[in-house]
Formats: sequence, structure tokens, C-alpha cells
Amino acid sequence: MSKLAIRSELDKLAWALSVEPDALGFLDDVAAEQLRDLRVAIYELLYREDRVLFRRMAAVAERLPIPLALQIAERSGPLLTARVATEIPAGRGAEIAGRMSTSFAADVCVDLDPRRTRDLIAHLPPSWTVDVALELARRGDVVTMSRFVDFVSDEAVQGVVDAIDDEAALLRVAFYMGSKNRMDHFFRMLPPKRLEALVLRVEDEPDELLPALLSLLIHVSYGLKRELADIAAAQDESVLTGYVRATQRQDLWPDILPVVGAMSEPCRHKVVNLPILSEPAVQEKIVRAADDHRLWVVVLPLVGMMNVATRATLAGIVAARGHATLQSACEAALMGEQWDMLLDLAALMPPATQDELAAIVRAFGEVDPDLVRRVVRGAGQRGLGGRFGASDIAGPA
Amino acid sequence: MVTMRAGDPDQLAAKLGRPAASLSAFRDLSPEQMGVLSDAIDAAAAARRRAVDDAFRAALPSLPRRVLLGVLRLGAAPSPEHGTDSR
Repeated sequence: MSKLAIRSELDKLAWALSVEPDALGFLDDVAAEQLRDLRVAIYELLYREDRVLFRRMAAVAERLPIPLALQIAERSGPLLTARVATEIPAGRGAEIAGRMSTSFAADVCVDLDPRRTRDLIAHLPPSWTVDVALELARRGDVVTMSRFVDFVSDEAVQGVVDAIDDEAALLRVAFYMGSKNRMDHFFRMLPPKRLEALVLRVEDEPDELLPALLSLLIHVSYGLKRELADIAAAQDESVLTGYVRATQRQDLWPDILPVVGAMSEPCRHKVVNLPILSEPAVQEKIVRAADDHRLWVVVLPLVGMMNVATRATLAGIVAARGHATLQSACEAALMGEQWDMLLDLAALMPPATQDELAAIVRAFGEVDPDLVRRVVRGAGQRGLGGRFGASDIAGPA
Repeated sequence: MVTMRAGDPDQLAAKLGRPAASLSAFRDLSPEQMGVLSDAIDAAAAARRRAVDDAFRAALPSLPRRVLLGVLRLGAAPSPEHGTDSR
């Protein structure tokens, strides 16, 4: 479960309820999908209110000359206009919207429900969408922008992306986008130089923009994830250290570890051996993320790339956390055939922990004796054969 | 609209007009937390109602507004606050 997806949904829920996100902190263990369903249910509740009134107002507006309908809309204000827009035929609504001032149209978008006006939105020309999006970007209203991304055409999105020259705004919009599976499509439309600028922009405001970039990286396809992650990893050590510190402060390890796992091997090697990653406080949070979010399958392959000092710190922390952590690491080694990495770690653990690990492996052997023979051979190569009962079960190589 | 303070997910689902199972992920919330959420939803609905009334008030003088809204709401189910707006 992505903490960032939950954070994004909590922000939007707070926005819908007009409260501070901190006031909803008690919901931070609820899955993002469930928070989204609640938010949609609240929109529906607000929408049902006075629907008959707005439907009748729309019926009247439909019969008025457009200049008069526009005049009444601007006099009635953005909220009433947005509500009537959900009830008016799409073509008529688009004709009225097309003559609004950009500023008023942006005001209306704040209150407009794009799910209920998707046909109207489809009738609007891309140039209208670009103008309104630029106005919303100028105001910093990325939540409203993100609500519409799923409902506008590729051509309009392309126009908006070309027109917005601030990469930070694009990242913030991506953070709040509802349809995460469209992210890959949209960001693949960006030229390589723009993608690079997007990643490099994080350096200026890591605490605010790193979560947005990670939120993007989590939801794009493996190929684009690797491309963007490698751009990030290519930066100077001081910049990467800043990213790690931001990750540590905001406890973003559950989200960033899969991104590191997707990097090309040279980039993974560089990141894993950053001096800051050998700090015990950092390692502690990485191990906790691996435990709580079943990420040992990502962490174990990184162990093989660690220098001895970093690996020793990690081994000490794993040993101190006890049986549940060892069990999780063993299960990941079993699933990913990562026993060599786990044994490299085990070789740096205290004898009592090595015995505990061997007992877990022996329990696996009740189902798969051949597995135990393989692990015992690996243990023997690291001088741990006695701990794993090599003389009893190793058998012929 | 139901304005009773919800103390569990089933009551909140009823308030929102959703099936009870749709909010099962909120079962771990305490009754107090569920109440806070319920209050926030009620406050948002009330704020929206006030904003709609204020927008009508800003757009039209009192008498034409009351006549127009009376006609447009004719036969519609009254909501808790709209029915008493005589300002």
C-alpha cells in the first residue's frame, strides 16, 4: 500500500471537505482506493442536494440566447454555474463556456464535477482547456487541474504540457491525478529533455517535489520508471544525499525502494553505496519498510551490491529485530531465489541469529529438501556450514 | 439528507446513500473518529448549502429570489436548510 497514494487521496478528501489534511490524519491507514470511494460518495451527496432546482435552471438556460445565459451565469457566480453545467446539454454548455472569460471559467472549474460534465468537456476546443489550465496553474490550483486530466483529450493535455513551463506544476498535478494508469501515457508524450528537466527540478525543493516524483514513478510502466529513476540516480552524490534525507524525514522508503529496484545495475550500485545509506537510522527505516510492506524481495538483491560496511550495519539491524524479520527475509529469498544475498547478510550476523535463520531454512526443508541442500552448500561456502547442519543434510554437491 | 451523527461505517454509509459494505475499510475507526468524519461531511454539506443560498442572494433581490426559487423547487424534496430560507 503506497503511503503517497494515501497522502494524495487524504489531501483531496480534505479539499472536498474544506478541512486541513492533518484533521483527517486518523484515516492514514485506510487504503487509497477506499478513501477515493468515500470522496466520490461525498461528491454524490453534495450533487444530489437541490438537483431538481438545478435541472430546472438548466432547462431555462437552454432556451435563453447565449449572451443572456452567459450574463446570468456570471451574475450567478461560479458555484451555481458549475451546478447548472452538470444538467445542461453538453453542446449548449460548451457554447456558453466558450464565451466565458478565462478567469471566470477557471472559477467555475473549481466547483465543476468533471465526471458529470465529461461530454461538455469533450465539446470544448483544446485552446480553451489550455487557457483555463494556465490560469489555474498561475493560481497554483493543482488539485483542480488534476481532477480534469482524466477527462480531457490527449491533444488538450499535450497543449497544456507544452504551455506550462514549470516542471514543479506538472509534478504536483501528477501527484493528485486520479487515473494513475494514464500517467504513463501522458508522461510518455513528453520529449526526453522535458522528462530530464522534470526529474532535475526535484533538486530545488526535494521535500515537496520528491513525493510528487515518486508518486509518478510508482504508477508508470517499468521501462519509463527505469528511465526516470536512472536520470535521478545520475545526479551528484550531494543531490542524492539530499533525496535520501527527504525520504528519511518523510518516511518514504516503502515508495522509493521499488524505484531503486527498477534502476539499471550501475545506478543501483551507486545509490546503494551512498555513504548516508550506511547510517543505522537510515538502515533501520529501510528494514522496517521491507518488513511492513513485504519489500524484502526488493531489498535482498541490493544486499549483493552493498559494500561490507553498509552490509554489516544492515545485518546488525536485521538481527536485532528478531524472528519475524528473519522469517520475512527468508520468505523473500525463497520467492526470488535470493539465498546468496541472504547468506551474505547472515555471515555478518551474531551466531544465535545464524542458528535462528538455519532453523527457518530447515522448516522450509520439510516441503523442499533440495532447497535446504542448496542453502547449506551456500552456507558452507561462507563458513556457516556447521550452523546449518551441513553434516546432517548437505548430501553430495 | 440524513444529518444524524454516524458512529460506525454502516451509519455513515446510510448517510451517504451507499451500501453498508462499501465502507467496510473504515471499520477500524473508533466511534469518535467516525463521528469526526461524519461531522466533517455534515459541515461540508451545510457549507455547500450556504454557498448556494449566498450565490442566489447575491444574484437576485429578495422578492424575485423567493418567487423564483419557490417555483423552481416546486415539488422537489426540501433539504434541511433551504426550506426555511426567508432572508
